Amino acid sequence: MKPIESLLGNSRWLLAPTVPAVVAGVAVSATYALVTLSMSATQAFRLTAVATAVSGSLLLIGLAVAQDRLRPLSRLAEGLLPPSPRHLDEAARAVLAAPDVSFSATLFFFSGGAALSSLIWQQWTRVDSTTALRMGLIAVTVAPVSAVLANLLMLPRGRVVLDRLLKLGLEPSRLLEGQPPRLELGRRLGFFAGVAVLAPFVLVVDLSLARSRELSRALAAAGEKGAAEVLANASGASSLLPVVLLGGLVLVMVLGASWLAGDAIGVPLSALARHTERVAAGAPDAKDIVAAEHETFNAALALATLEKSLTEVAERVAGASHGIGAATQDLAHGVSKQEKGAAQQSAALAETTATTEELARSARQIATNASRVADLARRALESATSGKGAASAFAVSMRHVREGHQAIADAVVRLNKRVQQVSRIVGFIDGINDRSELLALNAELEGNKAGEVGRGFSLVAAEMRRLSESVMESTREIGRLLNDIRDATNAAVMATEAGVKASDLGANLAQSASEALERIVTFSQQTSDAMQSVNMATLQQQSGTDQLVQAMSGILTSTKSGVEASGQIGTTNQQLEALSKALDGATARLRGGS
Amino acid sequence: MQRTLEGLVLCWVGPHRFAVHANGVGSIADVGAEAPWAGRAFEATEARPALSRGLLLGDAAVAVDRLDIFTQPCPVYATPELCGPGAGLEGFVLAQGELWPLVSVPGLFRYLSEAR
Repeated sequence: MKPIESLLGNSRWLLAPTVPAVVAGVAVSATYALVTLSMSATQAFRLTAVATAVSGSLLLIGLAVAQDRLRPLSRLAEGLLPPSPRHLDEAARAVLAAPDVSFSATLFFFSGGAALSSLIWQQWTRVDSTTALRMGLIAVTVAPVSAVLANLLMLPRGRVVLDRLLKLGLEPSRLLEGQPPRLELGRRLGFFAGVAVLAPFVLVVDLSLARSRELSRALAAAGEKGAAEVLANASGASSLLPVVLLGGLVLVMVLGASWLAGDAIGVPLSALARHTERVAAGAPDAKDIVAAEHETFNAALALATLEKSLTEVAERVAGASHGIGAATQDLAHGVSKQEKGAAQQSAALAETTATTEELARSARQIATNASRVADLARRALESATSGKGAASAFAVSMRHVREGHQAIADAVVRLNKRVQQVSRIVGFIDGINDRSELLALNAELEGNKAGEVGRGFSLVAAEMRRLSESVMESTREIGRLLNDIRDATNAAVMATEAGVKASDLGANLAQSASEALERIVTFSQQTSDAMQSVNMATLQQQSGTDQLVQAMSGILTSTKSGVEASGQIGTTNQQLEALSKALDGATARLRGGS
Repeated sequence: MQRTLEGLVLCWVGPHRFAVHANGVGSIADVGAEAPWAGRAFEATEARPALSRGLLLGDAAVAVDRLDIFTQPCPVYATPELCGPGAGLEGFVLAQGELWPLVSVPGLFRYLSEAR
């Protein structure tokens, strides 16, 4: 957990006033002892050393004890405890109890320290027991003053820390239980006043007695002759100066304690007064609590409780007032809408009456138009029937076209087969011609080998070879022609197939058109029948419209009565709304102007 | 005295041509892939045509693209020393106004078989 910045070091800061209070007490006691007790320089030095050592040690012990009592606050500040309501409450209790703890510790350790210092000083300096006892008595007399001083100095700081705890979410109502009930404010003030009066009184009495004894001894020692001188010395400025200084110091302490005591009561009372004025002015804040002690703090908590109750009551009244206001506004709005709606309704009814009369005229017109539409439907039926016949004839024609295309395709296929047969024959002729050409070539070769004898044979063979070459050229030409025919027949086959598909599509379209026309014929028949029904319904509508006009007249009269009643409700609502606003104004002030 | 020959078989292979004495050809026939194509004597990488005629003489056979028989007497010129024995070159003949290398079928066949 993270440390709480606002509380870090608060416990040490809270206890810090104890130190000056104790130091002031020790200083007064030591000074008083030095002034009133007759002692040597060595004894004075030893007294100072003992008082310093003992008071310093006991002060540290007392601070440690008080610091331990403030442990809930320091642990909360360091983040060792979560700032839960329980831990905040424990810390607040410790803070509230801290001044009293400091008072008790200062009183105890100061008195104990005085006794211890006297004892040590007596043993160390070997002074008589009466002097040592007086020394202790002086310190014990000053101890309550120091304790009261420490208590009063801590009170304002305690309020500051308590205020910080309240800001961290401390629940104020729980603090009532945390209030230490030991001393009430009146008894506490009485005690402080007693200390403020008794301490100087005791010191003054002691000083007077000491001076008296010292003067008596001086007079007895001086005799009658020196008495005047002794008395002159005793009343001299040098003799009175320490006494005056000591009296001034005691006076300052007592006045300071008195001023702090008054402040301890006055400051929270002033804050309470300001807080009450703020409540009276209509700006309550139940969370803003005056940090104080004892009855003053009880009063602050009671005031906070009162503020809380007032705010709750005001909020409830305001809620009720708002509810009334909202309901009144809704009612007024509803009445307004009702008035507006009734006016619109009246206008609409008048308009509806006129429309109804127009409707009767329209019904007659509709009957006439329905008759015309029936005639048109009959004509459409005749046209559709005629179209259906044409579509059927078109379908038959398309079938014939398809058959013609199919016949062409078959013929082209047959032609293609013939062309292939011719190609094979031409190939066969080509082979024979090749062999003939080879034979002629060999014959010509043999004729040449035979020389002059075979010349004639060679010439014949050469002529045969040329014939073979001519035949070969012719067969090549026939082959090219056959290839052209094959390409043409393939194109014809593809064209006839496309024609067959187109004729199929046309036949299907013709069939679809025929079926569509058949449906049109059916629909036309139904339309004619429906128009007859419409004509009959229009006549009945005419009768109903007359009755509707009479009913509309009655509704119009009722609507006017409703508008008048709405006006009266609106007036009543305005009065109710004014009352609600007045109530709102009254509760807003009670709730703190919210 | 100028030597002449009568009866020549004029052969064409690709863009080239040569002549064979008719007496040096046993017969003319269709030949398959077993007979070496004479065109390879001129250009070793050239492919053999699909249609060809074969000049046969004994075991020797040489395929050509096209042939013709020339019956007129033709003057024969001896082979220059520069050409050497080569592919059975036997000289040159002047026929149809052009000079033709004159080869023998066995010589050309042997040359082509060795070059395979």
